[in-house]
Amino acid sequence: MTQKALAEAVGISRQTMNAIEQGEYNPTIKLCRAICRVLGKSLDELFGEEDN
Amino acid sequence: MKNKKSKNMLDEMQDTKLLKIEEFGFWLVFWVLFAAIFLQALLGTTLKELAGEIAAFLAASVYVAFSSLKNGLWTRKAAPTLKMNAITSVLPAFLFGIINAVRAFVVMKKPIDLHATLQIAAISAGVYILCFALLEVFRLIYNKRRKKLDDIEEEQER
Repeated sequence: MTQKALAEAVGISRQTMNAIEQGEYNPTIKLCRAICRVLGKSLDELFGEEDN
Repeated sequence: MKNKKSKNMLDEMQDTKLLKIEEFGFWLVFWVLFAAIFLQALLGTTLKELAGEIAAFLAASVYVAFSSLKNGLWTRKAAPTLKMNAITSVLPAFLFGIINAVRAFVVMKKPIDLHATLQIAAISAGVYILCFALLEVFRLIYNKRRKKLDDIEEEQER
C-alpha cells in the first residue's frame, strides 16, 4: 500500500502521514486506531515499542 | 470558536498547526493593541477616542479570562497564589502611574507638586487594590472550579 493510498483511506493528508512516519508528529489515539483499522494491524504491532 | 455546521477540511495535524498559527496571531494582535492603547494614552489621547481599542482589548481579555476559569485553567507557568496576585497587581498600578504622570507633567505641562504627585499615587493605589481584588476573586473561582472538575474526573474513574 502506498503512502498516498493509506493517507486517503485514513482521511488525512500525505503531509500528516509523512510527519507520522518521520516521527515529527505524534498522532492521537483516535488517528492511530484509524490507521491500524485500515492496515489490519493492532496498536501494539504498529505503534508499540520494539523489543531489543 | 468552531462552527459545528461546516465541515473541517483539515486533518488533526493541520488543525493543530492552524490553531498554533491562530494562537500566535491572537497574542500578536493582543499585545500590539495593548502597546497602541498604552502609547496613545501616554500621548494624551482621550478615553473617548480610545474607546474602540479599549472595547476590543477588553472583549478579548474577558473572553480569555472567563473561558480559562470555566475550564479550570490559570497560566502555564505560575500557580495562583495570594503572593503571586499581590506581585502581579503592581504592574497595572505602575503602568497607570506612568501614564498619568506623563500625561500630567509632560503632555499637559502641569507643575510637578506634591498635590499632583499624591493624586497620581492615589490613582495607582486604587488600580492596585482593584486588580488585586479582581485577581483574588478569580483565584477563588479557579480553586472552586478546579476542585469541581477534579471531583468529576475522580468520579468517572471509579
